[in-house]
Amino acid sequence: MAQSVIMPKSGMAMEEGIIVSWLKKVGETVSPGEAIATIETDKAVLDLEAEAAGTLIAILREAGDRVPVTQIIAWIGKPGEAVPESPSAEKSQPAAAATAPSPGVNAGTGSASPGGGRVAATPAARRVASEAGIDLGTVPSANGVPVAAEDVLRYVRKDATPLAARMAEAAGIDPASLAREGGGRIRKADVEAAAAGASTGERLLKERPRSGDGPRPDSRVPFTSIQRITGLRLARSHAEIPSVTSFAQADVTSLLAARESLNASGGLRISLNDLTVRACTKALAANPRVNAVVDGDGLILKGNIDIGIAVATETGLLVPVLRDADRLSLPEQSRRSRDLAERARTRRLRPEEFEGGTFTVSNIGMYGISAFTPIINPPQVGILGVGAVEERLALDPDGRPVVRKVLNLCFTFDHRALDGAESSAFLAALRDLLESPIHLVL
Amino acid sequence: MREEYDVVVVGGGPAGYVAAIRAAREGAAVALVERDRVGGTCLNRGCIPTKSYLQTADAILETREWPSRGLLLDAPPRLDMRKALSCKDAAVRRLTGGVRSLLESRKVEILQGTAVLRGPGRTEIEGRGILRSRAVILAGGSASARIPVPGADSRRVLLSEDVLALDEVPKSLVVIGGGVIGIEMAQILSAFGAVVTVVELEDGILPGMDKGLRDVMAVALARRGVAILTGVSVASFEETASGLAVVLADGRRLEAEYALLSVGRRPDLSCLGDSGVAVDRGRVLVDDAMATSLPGVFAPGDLNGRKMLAHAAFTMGEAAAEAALGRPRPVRLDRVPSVVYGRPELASVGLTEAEARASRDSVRVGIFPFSANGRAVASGDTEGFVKVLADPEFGEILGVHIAGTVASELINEAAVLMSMEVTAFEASGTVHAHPTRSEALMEAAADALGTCVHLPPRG
Repeated sequence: MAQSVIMPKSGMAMEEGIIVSWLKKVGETVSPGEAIATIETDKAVLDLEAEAAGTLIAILREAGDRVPVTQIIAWIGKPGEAVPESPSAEKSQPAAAATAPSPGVNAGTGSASPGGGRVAATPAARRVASEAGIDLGTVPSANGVPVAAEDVLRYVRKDATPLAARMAEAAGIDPASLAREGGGRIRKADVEAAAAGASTGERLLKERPRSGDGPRPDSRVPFTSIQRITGLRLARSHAEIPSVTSFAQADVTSLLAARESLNASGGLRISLNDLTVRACTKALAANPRVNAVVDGDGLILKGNIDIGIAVATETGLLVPVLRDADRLSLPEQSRRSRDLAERARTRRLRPEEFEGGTFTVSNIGMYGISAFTPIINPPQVGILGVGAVEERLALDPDGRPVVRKVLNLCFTFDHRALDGAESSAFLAALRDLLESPIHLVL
Repeated sequence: MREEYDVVVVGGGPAGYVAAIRAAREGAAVALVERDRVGGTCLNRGCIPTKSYLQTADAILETREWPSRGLLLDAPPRLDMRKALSCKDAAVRRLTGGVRSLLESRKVEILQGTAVLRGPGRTEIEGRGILRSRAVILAGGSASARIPVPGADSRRVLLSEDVLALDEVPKSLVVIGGGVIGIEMAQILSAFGAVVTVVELEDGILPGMDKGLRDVMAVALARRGVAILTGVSVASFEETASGLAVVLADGRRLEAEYALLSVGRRPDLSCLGDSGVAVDRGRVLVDDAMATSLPGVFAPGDLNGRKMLAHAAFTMGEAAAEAALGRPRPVRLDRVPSVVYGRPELASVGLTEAEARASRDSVRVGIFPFSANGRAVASGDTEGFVKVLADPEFGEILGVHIAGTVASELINEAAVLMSMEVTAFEASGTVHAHPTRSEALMEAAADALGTCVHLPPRG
């Protein structure tokens, strides 16, 4: 009996994916785990692996097609086997399970009571709702059906009425970017207001080309989905966490000299950021309360040290996670960081590569910025901002002026989790490590 | 009776009693002044009593169809008018009593008397002194309009409330005014056995409604022997030995036992007193949140003449209460459905076809006749149709017009679709139970898009 291949749902926010290419042709044999197609989501490009062994007997959606998650895109069966016309109940079950994870699990954990109390919801929905800071009870869902993560996301994004959605599509407007008349769903009037604004802008642009002193049109650039999700998290972090940023300067003159000789010895391309991350792993190991996540009214001190590294991409800020950073050799750590950053820029990260960091490093030194106050990536308790290397005049032990290279370290921490002494101990340890390269290598 | 309230409501009709309950629910101390019985025109002299009679009329008309279904009646049913009257009055008593106990359950103080506004926050109850309040909600409603022609004050010229109180069916009746009230009354009395003639000033009955619906009703009335004279006004009424002569402007004389004057309703401004509330052409001026020209004074319902329908008054009453408590919000009345009861029923929401065509370059019109609807054919009741007007670009539903049995119920689906901005695409793709009359709405939406399965292709 033929097995369906569906567009996978590889992240809670994923609603559709694009088939980049088919790696197998109809008639070719496939085995479980073998990549049969490349799929692009809004965050990453993934390989779609076969779950069954057999022959690819039908490809229903072509490369380039945009397909909603859980929709069947191909069939695997015996050579010559007929393609089922519609998914049988048995075959459509995995798809259903993927969209609304396990009502069974919910039945076990929740006691959904009709007149209030605990709202029936999937665990994913609870997580999304809690991250977005909304009450699950306010999320509309079909009676008796547990609220799914998608329901919550749709609610957060303020879905459009069918008419508004059609009008927005025709006008090339992202409904989620619109202001709403009196809250709730995006309605016709909202799209009309936005469209009127746009056409006014276009008219002015034609009437007054470039020069002149008249009004110049505004233009609206909708947030990408990454920017929306990141924005939601950042806003919540900024609003809820009593954060403090402390600054320190590390004299990295000798560290930079050491880096140069390491790289000169052949093959290696160790960056200053690699060394900063390395220093963080050691400082975190010595200060376990910083390598932690907030859990309700307590802290979970994390066993592993997994460092999130902020990467700017065309579609928004991504933070891939360097796992077990303290167990890697410096060359391996450097190679993996570069690989993660490169794949983040080309959107080839796998979903699990974004999740579960224990600390974050954000480096904008390459832009020549001295210092900044980063925002904590919750539930983590700290984030290190790294500025540019600047030259300073100093006096050497003999009292002669010398040029020293100084790095600005900006450590934002959750004051609920760390007090001034604890945070300072971490930042001082970090500075000391960067100032004595020997300890860094040890 | 206290000296001071948060909100004083004048009038216990649909706008007033809803406003009072809404304000009380928010914790306000509310007094409602009513000079008669709560429930207003709707419950006491309008929607509800006429629906009681229309049900009786419909049953009479239905028995005429029975022989074709093999159901034989040895003699046509006879009407006991006194019993019909008491049955109607029982329904009215039950509903007005219900409103009264709802008000009491919310601790609204019901004060009997005639109230007049004396200024912001000051309402006088005749003979009982001044009530002070932070806000006043004027819900004085409306009264049947009269026309200034000779003889109009004859006791044989009745208003709709007078007809509802008759304990004998008149032998003949001339209905002056073919609007909603006139047409419902004409149907009741014609079915009860009166010879009925309708006189309408405009070029057809039910002016303002979609042309398709007006035509269906005109045909149905003609088939039942109701004469309709259009494009003519009344010059005078003359009492005769046997009753009344209605003299028309073109000289014709219509002899009848009674005439019914149903030429519309006028806001009843008697509650305004000398307070100086701004009035325009007989209607109290209000903004979209029901605020009048005086601070803290609001006027929902018929008094502002925006839409003289009980269900429009409900929503205006709620908004007025919210505005009175400091949370004004605009009321939208463009998707309020309207219904003409009878056999068949007519129901509309949104733009008429003429209005839709005037408002844009092109309109898609989908029509599904009940003669192609399984439930209607099986019931032997195929009169009427569903018409859906859609915008060709996005399928926006601009208006829906239904003629036929239970149109008054079907129209509510259309109102939901329109207020949720569901387009003809989704409406035509929503599975409806079969066989039901509701399918005709889905089919008409599909017809507007040219995708209707149960109709042959259009010529």
